[in-house]
Amino acid sequence: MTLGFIRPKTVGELLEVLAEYKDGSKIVAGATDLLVQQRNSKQVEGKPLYLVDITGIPELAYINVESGVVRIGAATTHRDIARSTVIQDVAPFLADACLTVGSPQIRARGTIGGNIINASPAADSLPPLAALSAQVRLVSKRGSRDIAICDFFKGPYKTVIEPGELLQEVFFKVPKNPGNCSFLKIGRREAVAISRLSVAVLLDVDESGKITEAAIAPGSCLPMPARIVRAEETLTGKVPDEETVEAAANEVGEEMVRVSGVRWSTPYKKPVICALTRRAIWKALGVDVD
Amino acid sequence: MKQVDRCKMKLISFTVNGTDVKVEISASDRLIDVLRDKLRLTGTKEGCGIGECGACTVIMNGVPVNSCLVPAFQAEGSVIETVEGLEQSGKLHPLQEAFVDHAAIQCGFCTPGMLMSALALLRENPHPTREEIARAISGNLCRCTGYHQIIEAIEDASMRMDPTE
Ligand SMILES: Cc1cc2nc3c(=O)[nH]c(=O)nc-3n(C[C@H](O)[C@H](O)[C@H](O)COP(=O)(O)OP(=O)(O)OC[C@H]3O[C@@H](n4cnc5c(N)ncnc54)[C@H](O)[C@@H]3O)c2cc1C
Ligand code: FES
Ligand code: FES
Repeated sequence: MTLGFIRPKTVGELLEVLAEYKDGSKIVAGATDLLVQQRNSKQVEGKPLYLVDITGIPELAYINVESGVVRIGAATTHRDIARSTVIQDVAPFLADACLTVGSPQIRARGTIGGNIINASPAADSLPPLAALSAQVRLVSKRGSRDIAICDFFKGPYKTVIEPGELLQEVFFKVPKNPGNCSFLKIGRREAVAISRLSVAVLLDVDESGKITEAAIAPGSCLPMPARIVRAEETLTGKVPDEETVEAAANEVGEEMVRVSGVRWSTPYKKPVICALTRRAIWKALGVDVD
Repeated sequence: MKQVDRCKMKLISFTVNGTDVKVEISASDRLIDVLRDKLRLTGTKEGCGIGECGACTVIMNGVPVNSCLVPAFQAEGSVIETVEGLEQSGKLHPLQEAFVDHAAIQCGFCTPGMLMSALALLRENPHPTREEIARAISGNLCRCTGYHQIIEAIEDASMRMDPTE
């Protein structure tokens, strides 16, 4: 049930409101998750809430790079991230991921902050953010704290954010080789949820062609965003050949089964995520394969 | 610090198709409710109500959005364009003419939303490729036409609107 709405104009005003109402308030950004969830649930259950709109706060929508750190304000839309020349330069796979979200209309309203807080296993911004070792900054009237993106989630649709806290921004270091990254996703939004598998890959390759660092983060196949360390280790220190890439890709499938067990969907999902990862690794290396 | 308003109902103002309007809204109203029920602009359609079909597409501050997913309070101070704003002094907009000429309308339920997505595209990109058109209308479902005629109509409209190229 909604008691009413509040539209602060500054972060200062917003934090006052959040401190006053805490779990009696609900932040609204693009509303693309919130209104769908409200419609699907019976509305009557739950505590009466004030909706606190953050779309009227210009200081929460920004993309900037300073001293090698990229900062994206929580209220920045997928549309603005996908179109940002800064993001296209420093983390093109994040721009690609945001461009696959929903539809033009959804991207125009949906924000990266909402995507992170909603914490869906299928949230498209999360694999690239995990691969970038991004951190989120939470602020409240009492102060602020930074948390690594992979430590921010407790499970599907669950995060460690506390009542009264705002996700202010997500930030990450500019990668050494922004060109060696890729995001691949299969399945369109019309398709059933099972086919929304995705994967983000970020590599660092030296002049001899050796992979010196690897980050691999799949989407929709684990309960929450995570890096696949075994896959990354398989690549690190190697000059990639077909066998190595295949072995690394297979580790992603193995990890999915280790974490989630064998399910009815496993015979489909496992080979698909392996094949997708293989393609994504090659794509990050600048090689198009099918 | 001055207290921020807590509103149950509020009189908000915004612009619809070039006209300033003032309407009383509640926290649970969506933009589509305000347009259809309060302003009687029933050209904008509600299909799914959950952002999947695009029938409710309007242009908000220059960008196409699903009006079924915009809380009405977010429309305060905004500039909204709906399908009713396309026709000018009794003359159909070139996009509307092209839709008619190409039989891009069957049942017509998707048409208002398609037109608004197409209009936003052509303003930004007066001569889009077919692929760009398909991408621009990817959030608008049509169960009748199979999209072919719609894409042709938009392509043709781009020529009618800016024949220089
Ligand atoms: C048709 C459709 C298709 C979609 N397709 C995709 C897709 O392909 N990929 C994908 O990843 N997602 C998809 N989504 C989901 C959704 O659009 C995204 O998750 C979007 O990024 C959510 O952002 P929002 O601003 O709309 O969030 P809101 O709905 O406004 O908020 C979501 C949650 O986050 C909280 N919140 C928002 N901002 C903050 C903040 N700054 N601090 C604290 N809490 C906050 C809200 O309280 C709420 O709990 C789709 C949704 C629809 C309706
Ligand atoms: S009614 Fe809004 S998208 Fe379907
Ligand atoms: S004409 Fe019927 S849905 Fe498009």
